[in-house]
Amino acid sequence: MKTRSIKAAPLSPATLHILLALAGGDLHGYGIILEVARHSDGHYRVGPGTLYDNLKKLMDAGLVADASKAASAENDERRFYTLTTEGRGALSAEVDRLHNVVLEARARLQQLKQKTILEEL
Amino acid sequence: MNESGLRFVYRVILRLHPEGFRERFAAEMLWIFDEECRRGRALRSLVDVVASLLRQRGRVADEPLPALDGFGLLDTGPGSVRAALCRPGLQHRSSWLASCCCWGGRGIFSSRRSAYRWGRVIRSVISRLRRGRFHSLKLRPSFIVRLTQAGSTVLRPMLFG
Repeated sequence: MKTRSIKAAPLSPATLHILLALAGGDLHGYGIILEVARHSDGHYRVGPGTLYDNLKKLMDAGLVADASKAASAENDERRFYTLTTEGRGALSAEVDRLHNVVLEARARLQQLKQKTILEEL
Repeated sequence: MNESGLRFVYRVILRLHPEGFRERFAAEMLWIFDEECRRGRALRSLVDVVASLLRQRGRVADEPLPALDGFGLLDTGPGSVRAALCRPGLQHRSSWLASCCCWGGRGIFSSRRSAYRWGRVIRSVISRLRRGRFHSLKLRPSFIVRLTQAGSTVLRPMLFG
């Protein structure tokens, strides 16, 4: 039930950023934090508590899984995380949803602009 | 507070997280905390871990596991009463109580004064449990929460110094 709800509901900003970071490749916890800061131009930062809280939720829901280590990272003791097929699906659904929100917002703003111009005339 | 003091507080907060979460992520979280310290973001991480603790504990309270006596410190008697004690609100508090007991046993409350303070809290909770006045929970009059051998070993030094 929990799995279903996390996939169906809009994702929280932290969840979205974590999935987005993992979409670029397998990362360890700190790598995710750095990647989130990088792709949001430093505007959004997840702390370790928020990160692992969300990772646990995502792993329980089957959207993220433990990754097998790459040969280059074999000496690294940290755990790496990977996006599952379901995780990619959830991210893609969220991006579509956000895209629709942006389209709707643009259309409304355009209408508002036209209305303002007509009133001024 | 210096860096090692903050690290100690961070570790204490990590240990208060539910066991499953702690076993899985605590080492990595501590490693990240050290990295964040080096970048001067220790306080921010500390606030973040407190928020995480509240979320995790909140989630545990919603789950029907484990019972008050799941920690082996208190004997809560027959199955029906045990089931009643699994109610989220009470279970949440009982897990905190048991955590306090566990921590006390491991020497976190090093000063006698703080042990006495926690001892008072625990005595008050046990006394309310005995009287069945914990929220709306009605216990049978004959029902008594007994400390197990392990529980009394942990509690005695805390309560009586």
